[in-house]
Amino acid sequence: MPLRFIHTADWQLAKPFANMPSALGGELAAARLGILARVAAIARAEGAAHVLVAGDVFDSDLIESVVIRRALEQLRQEAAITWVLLPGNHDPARAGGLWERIARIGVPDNVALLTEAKPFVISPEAIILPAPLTSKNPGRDPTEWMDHAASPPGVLRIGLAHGSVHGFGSEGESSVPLARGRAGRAGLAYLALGDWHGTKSIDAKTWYSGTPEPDRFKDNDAGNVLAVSIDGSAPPDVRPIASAHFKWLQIASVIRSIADVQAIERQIAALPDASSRVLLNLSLSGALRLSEYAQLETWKPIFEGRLRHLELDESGLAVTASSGDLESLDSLAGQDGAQGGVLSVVARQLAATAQDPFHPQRSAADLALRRLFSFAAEDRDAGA
Amino acid sequence: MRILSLRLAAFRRFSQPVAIEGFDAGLNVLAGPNEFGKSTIFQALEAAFLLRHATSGAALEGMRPRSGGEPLVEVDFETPDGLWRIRKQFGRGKAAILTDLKTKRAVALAADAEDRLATLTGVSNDGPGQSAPGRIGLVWVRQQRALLPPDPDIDPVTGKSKPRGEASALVELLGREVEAAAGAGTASRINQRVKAALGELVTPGREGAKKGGAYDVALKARNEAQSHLARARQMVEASEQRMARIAEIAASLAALESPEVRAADQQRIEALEKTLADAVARRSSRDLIAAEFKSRDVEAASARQALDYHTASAARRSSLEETISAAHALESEIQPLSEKLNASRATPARMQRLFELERDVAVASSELSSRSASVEISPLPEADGRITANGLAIRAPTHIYVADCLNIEIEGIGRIGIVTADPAKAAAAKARLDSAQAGLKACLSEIGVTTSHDARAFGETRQQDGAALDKARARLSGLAPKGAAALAQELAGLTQSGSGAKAEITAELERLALEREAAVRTARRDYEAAKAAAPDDAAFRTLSADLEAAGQTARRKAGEARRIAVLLEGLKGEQSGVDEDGRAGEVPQALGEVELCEREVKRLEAEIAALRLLAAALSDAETNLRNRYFEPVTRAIAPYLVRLFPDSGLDFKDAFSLDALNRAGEKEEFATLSDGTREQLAVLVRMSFAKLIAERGASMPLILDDPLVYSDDARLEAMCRALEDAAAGHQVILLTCREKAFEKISGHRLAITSWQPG
Repeated sequence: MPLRFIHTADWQLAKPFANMPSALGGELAAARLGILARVAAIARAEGAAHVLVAGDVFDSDLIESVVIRRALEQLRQEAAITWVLLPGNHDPARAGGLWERIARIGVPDNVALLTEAKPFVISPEAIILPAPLTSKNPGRDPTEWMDHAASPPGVLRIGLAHGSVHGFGSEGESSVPLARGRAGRAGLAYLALGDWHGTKSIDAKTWYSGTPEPDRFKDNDAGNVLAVSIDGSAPPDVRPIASAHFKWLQIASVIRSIADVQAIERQIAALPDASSRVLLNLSLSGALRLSEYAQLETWKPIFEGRLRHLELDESGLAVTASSGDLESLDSLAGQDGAQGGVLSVVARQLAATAQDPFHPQRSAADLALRRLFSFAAEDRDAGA
Repeated sequence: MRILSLRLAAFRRFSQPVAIEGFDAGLNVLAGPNEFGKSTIFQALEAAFLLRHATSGAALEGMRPRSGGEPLVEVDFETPDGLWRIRKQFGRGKAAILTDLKTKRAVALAADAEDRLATLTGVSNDGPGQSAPGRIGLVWVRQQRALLPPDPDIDPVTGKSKPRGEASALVELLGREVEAAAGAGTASRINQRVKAALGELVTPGREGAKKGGAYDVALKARNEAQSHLARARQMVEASEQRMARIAEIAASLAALESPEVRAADQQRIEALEKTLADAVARRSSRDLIAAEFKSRDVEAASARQALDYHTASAARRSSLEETISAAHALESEIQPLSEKLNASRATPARMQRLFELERDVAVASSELSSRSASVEISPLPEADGRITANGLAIRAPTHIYVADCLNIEIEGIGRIGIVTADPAKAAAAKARLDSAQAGLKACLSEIGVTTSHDARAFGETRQQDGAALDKARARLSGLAPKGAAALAQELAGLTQSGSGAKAEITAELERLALEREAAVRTARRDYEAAKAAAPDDAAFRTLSADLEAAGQTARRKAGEARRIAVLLEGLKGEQSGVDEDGRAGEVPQALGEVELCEREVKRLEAEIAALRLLAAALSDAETNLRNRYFEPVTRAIAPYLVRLFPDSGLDFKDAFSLDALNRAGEKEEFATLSDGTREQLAVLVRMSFAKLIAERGASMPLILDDPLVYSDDARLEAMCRALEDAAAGHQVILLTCREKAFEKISGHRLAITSWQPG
């Protein structure tokens, strides 16, 4: 009978999203708290009795107690599952800190707080060797003790830690260095890691589950939990299972025409996720003709309406004013094909500044040009 | 167009019908005093061309003469299309009739007539009751109207557009030249729009955020968010410090309460107590040994003392025996000396007397010699006895003092008598000498000698004997002050007491002293050993202090642990309170707010920068455009301007109002120029309008109602020449009350005649 459990991490409950519109911030916060129910559902579906959370259960060790109470209450209600919680760099187990508070509030029977580096037995066949963080920056490898931790023969040793695996890059959140090859040295059947928000395998036995609910625009395969199955000494079977409510998408695109923008929209529509759950950070660069830019302006609110959230960065987008655009501007002003009309003169001047990469007022000119066109269109519409 | 005749009836000043016939194609002058009716004539022309015949109300009443009546105006005029007459009857019986004078047929009536007239004159006919003045407004200049720019197209009061106003007429007139002006209105509106948008964000001076505007709100929100962040950070800082303190204190408490530490403390105290007890024992033993040593020392000292005393007594006896022997020897020496001394007659008194007598003899002898003659007689050997002195034979050389007289007889030779000078005194001297010599002799006798020499020898001997006696006596006194007998008595005592007498006693005493001294040495060694083994006072004090300190440390630790435990609970409670509301956790929240607000501020700042740039660009473009727009006017006015202001140019601003006169390289703001100059320039502008209109084949008479009222003679003269120049290109009608001023201007003089309306 293989050992089955769910590996997750970086829930960061109570993370505020104040840099988002407030209504969206509320939804994102709610989606984070919803992690518990979703993970529980996955655990049930996978037949896993344990959920191992590899640190950063909470976003901060200074959060208000009511958040803790709510989370504990939800965990309590999932009584069939044993929740194994590890302090991470966001919520270190400091003296008098969060974990003591949790203990004061009252830990449900089906919740284990691994605040000390000592083996925790989850079944007669398996123990967990936790590497809890007691400060945000412990300045040492908290997994080191696992090498020498004693365990009865034949019992599976499962490491649970939070930090950046040395050599994995500087992508980790914390500054807690973890030595490479710990699973091998410490004879671990599996090393469940947290900190890196994307799902990532370091080796066959060492995995970052990533956060089950992404919290930022970063294209790193976040939004999964790992269903782990270990059968004796065979390598563990690790399967990522999507768990996110919202899809955070970051797209940087070089565009030449409005058609390119429409292609992006098609790309979003083709995603398995409902567009209404997509948060898109779209950076447009390249160049767009003024006439098409007007179309972009029109398209923008429509597209935004289809998504849950759109962050559009057009700062890299140059708006080019062709002579046709300028003529159209003069025609907006009521004079067909006139050369040297006020508006076209102004537009040419602004376009020249906007296209000069070294001009200090380059971006102001670019925006001014767009405004000129929209005001001219407004004026025409008002006249019409 | 040019005006040929004007006729009016019941029109303001003219209640009776009048006519002005025979307008010239060039310059026409109608001069007359004030109240003559020039302005009425001007108004009548305007009424004919611009006012609808059906007008009523104030406009109608304004035309009626005080005596009443229905105003009638009739104008004959020529256009490139032909000769025409417009006749407008206002008020009761209102009518408008346009007649083709060539065919004498009325070609249009009422509104049709007015529409046709508008077409002929280029006047807009859109307005209600009154036609917009169009180009007529540009060149028909009422009294003091010259100073005003052409009516703008936008009514400044209502904000409504007047598309066929004077400015429009000018734009239309300037045609191709101002084609570039296309969109000028739009640009102007957009600029207004941009400025309005900017005005929503920043103050009119554009230095600060407009209060209540989006930018202001964003800045305030950002400041608030930053304050929130600062507050939250303070709270976090406080929390972090408290947490660090809790950790630190918890660690301290754990250390204080650790069993190992406690046991170590206890062990230390016990060890110190043991060491101290040992030290006390050693010190006590040392002190006992020290007392023993002291006793031995005292015993040894007394033994040594006894031995010393015994040895000293033996020495004393020996010494006494020697002294007594010496004293006896001295006493036997003293006895004969004393006797000899007592036997000697050369006593000091006698010797003293002897010396005095010898001195007296010497003194007397000396006095006698000084009172006597001194005679030396030295007889030859063969004179043997033959020389006598006072009868005594002289055989040897002889010295004789002669006191009184001396008779020297030389045998066979004779006698020599020597007599002294004062024989009496010499005699006295001799007597004293004799007396002294006698005394001396007696003294010598007493002494038992015959000569002074012997006496002296006697004296010296006695003196030496006295000295020897004194010396012996002194030595005796030194040896036995109380006499030899006393010494003998002491010796007898010593002998009797037996001290130092027995050698065996001495030996016994010496043995005892040595034995005891050996005991002292042993005791000293023991003492030194005990002293070395026992801690000295300083070490003992240190040891006691160490024990005290260790005890205190243990008590302090216990107290500290209690105190820390209380403190820790307090801090945890405090932290728990802070945790409960989670306010210290607001930093990420506040950071998000700041980021959001910062983004909004940046967005608005970019917007402001863009709008400013756009506004500036539009204004610049408008200025450039205006310069192009004014170019034909500038060109047209040049020949007139040169007559008054050589080497100068004009700047215009909106709606053809004058901005500045550039004279000799200096820009003079229009408003700062004199009234006369301003009026002259304004008239020149109107003249240029008329010229432009004429050049474009739609000539229109320039009508000036009482112009140039502020001009001096020279300028007026120049203006007259300019007007004469202008009249070469189009009709000019000058209405003036200053007949004399315009005396020198050439041109046709108009006259008012009576008229009988047909």
